Amino acid sequence: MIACWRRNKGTWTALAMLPALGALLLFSGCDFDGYPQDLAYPLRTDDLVVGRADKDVPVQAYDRPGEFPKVLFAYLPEEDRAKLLADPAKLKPEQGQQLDALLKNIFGSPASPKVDGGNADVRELLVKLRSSLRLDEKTLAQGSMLYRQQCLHCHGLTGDGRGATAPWVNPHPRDYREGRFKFTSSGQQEGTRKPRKEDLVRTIREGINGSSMPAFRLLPDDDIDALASYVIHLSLRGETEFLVMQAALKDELDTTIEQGVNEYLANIGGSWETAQHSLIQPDAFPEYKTDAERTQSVQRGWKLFTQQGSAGQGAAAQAGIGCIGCHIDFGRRAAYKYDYWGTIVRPADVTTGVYRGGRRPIDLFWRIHSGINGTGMTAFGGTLQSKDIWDLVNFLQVLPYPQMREKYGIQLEAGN
Amino acid sequence: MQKFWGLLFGGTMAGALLLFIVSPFVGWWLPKNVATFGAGIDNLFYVILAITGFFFILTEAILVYNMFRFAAKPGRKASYTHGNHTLEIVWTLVPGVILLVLAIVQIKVWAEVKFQKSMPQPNDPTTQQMEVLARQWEWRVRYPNRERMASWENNENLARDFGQNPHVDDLHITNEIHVWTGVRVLVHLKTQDVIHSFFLPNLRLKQDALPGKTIPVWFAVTESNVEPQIDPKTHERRWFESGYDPATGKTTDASKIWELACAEFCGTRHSMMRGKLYVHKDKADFLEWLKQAEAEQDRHHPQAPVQVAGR
Repeated sequence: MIACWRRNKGTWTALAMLPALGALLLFSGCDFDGYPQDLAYPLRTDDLVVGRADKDVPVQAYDRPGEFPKVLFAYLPEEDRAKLLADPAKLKPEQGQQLDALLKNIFGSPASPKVDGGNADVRELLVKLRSSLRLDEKTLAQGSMLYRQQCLHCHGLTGDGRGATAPWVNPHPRDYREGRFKFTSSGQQEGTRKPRKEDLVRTIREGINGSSMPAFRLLPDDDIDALASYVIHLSLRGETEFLVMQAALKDELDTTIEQGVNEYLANIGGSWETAQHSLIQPDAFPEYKTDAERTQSVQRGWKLFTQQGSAGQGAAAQAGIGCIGCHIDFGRRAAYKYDYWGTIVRPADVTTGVYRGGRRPIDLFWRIHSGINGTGMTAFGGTLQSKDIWDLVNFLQVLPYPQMREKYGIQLEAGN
Repeated sequence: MQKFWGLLFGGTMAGALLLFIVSPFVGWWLPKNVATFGAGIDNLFYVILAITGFFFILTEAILVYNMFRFAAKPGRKASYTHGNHTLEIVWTLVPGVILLVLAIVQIKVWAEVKFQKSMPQPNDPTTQQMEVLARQWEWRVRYPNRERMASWENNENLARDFGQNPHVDDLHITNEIHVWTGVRVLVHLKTQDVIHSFFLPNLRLKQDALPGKTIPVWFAVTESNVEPQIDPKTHERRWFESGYDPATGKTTDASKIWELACAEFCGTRHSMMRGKLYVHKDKADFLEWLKQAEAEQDRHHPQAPVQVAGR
């Protein structure tokens, strides 16, 4: 026997590999649905962004590929950066453990996500939220599985926007944990403003042109809805964690961690609930009976864009709102700025015809009306009336097209 | 013992051949062809398959037979053969001639699909034009709206600039190719970032999209696969594929689902860079869809975007 083995070692070895080959062929390409049951959301360890950068970016450049997320507020001097960031490692260990346990209790795990827990008031609020936003366990489980397949590699396990792909794409994937989403249609006060679920569905379905967020139009409506629910779940968890940690690190938590979680979750949940009923409804789009009327609208929009309101007159809207002050040279030479996530952005180049939040006139209206959350694009819904915003929208639609600019009498100052 | 190897090889080859013979009957064969030039491409495929198949079986059979018959045995001396000049000339010349014949035979099909002079011209009013911009990781398609299409019928020069001159009211739709049966479609293929490849398996069409170039691609489809139905959930009219049942969400006829895929590795989500090909029954139905898509894109009052076609 041994002699036979010795003589034919090669053969026996080769034959022994056949089961391994078979296993490889059998299991390659298998779908592993969903996350492992024992995986838990880890408590965050990356820096919290606790302040706003009031300076522009010192250089006209984005962070270099691969640098994110190691370097937030890139190119700022170290002492300025330190003021804007807080390190979760400085939390007391028992605080961290308490927070972790509470979050697990309320939000579950990636394989079994839920939104249910906290004190009596919070529970009551979450019941409402679960029904209005479809955050029941079945939908969240479906969303979790899809998220793992489609979104995890960019947006990360906890929705931190720090997945494997994140350092290599710019703009970087959204970090849901600040509870801020850029493209919204809800009319709440900025700071507490949350997106309506339809806004998230729009983003998932249509993608964000000008960034790496693809359009998931080919997913069934049901799947997209489940994904949006899961994103909301991640955002609820992330923002609760963020606010409690921020307060604890600043020593401003004058209650226990548990009370902090309840209080912040109640606030956040309330904001989400209000957002669903706060749709921005513009006045009806004017009917232009003649070409001349339409041209006048575009001209008004041009004036609004390029002219500054005179200080101290109070009739700023009539003179202009000076978009060109930030969108320098219609955005072509805009300065680089820091957003509320510590990454680098710039006012959009509106001559390209590429609109991240959607290109429908109503989308452009919403961007101007409520601004873009988390960036320097401020809300003009308070200063401008609907008809003025529609003038701006008409102007913006004409601007990227040379033939249309000629027709409506618009000039770009340099390099027409 | 050595004969075992001959048997192993022979058995594996026989198994592979069996799998191959069985595959058309279990749905592992070519996807359904609906392109006008598809038949020509498929014929070439079958010719090459027949030739290579014949020679494959022949050579492998000879190999296995010799492995078996002349396997090493203790006590038997190996024989040394010098080579056979005639045989070597034959087995060089025959494949050489076959390749030459194939090269000549395929010219016609290649010219029909790839030569610019075979393509529908932009200033031909019966041509449908669209611009497909590939980007990581989706297909952004730009269609002319009804007004722009109508203007081409009166003035053919206006049609020429569609590729270079976007208009503000062009339709921008992602991952959906909409055409109608019989029309010759001219696609202006571009890419925003890296090399992608525009691949429609049901049309036997594949073209790399190269950064910096706009590459013309054309095709015409012989049958349709969408029809307008009332969406059971939203009660709006939408265009669903004939092989898809919106009530259950299930695919009932896979041969009516025609896809667009990316065939050049382009990053993390290359395999998920998929789209759908929707072929309307006729131009009227296409224009109905276009009308609804235009209304959607030109929306001035708040409503979540409605996906006009698909699921």
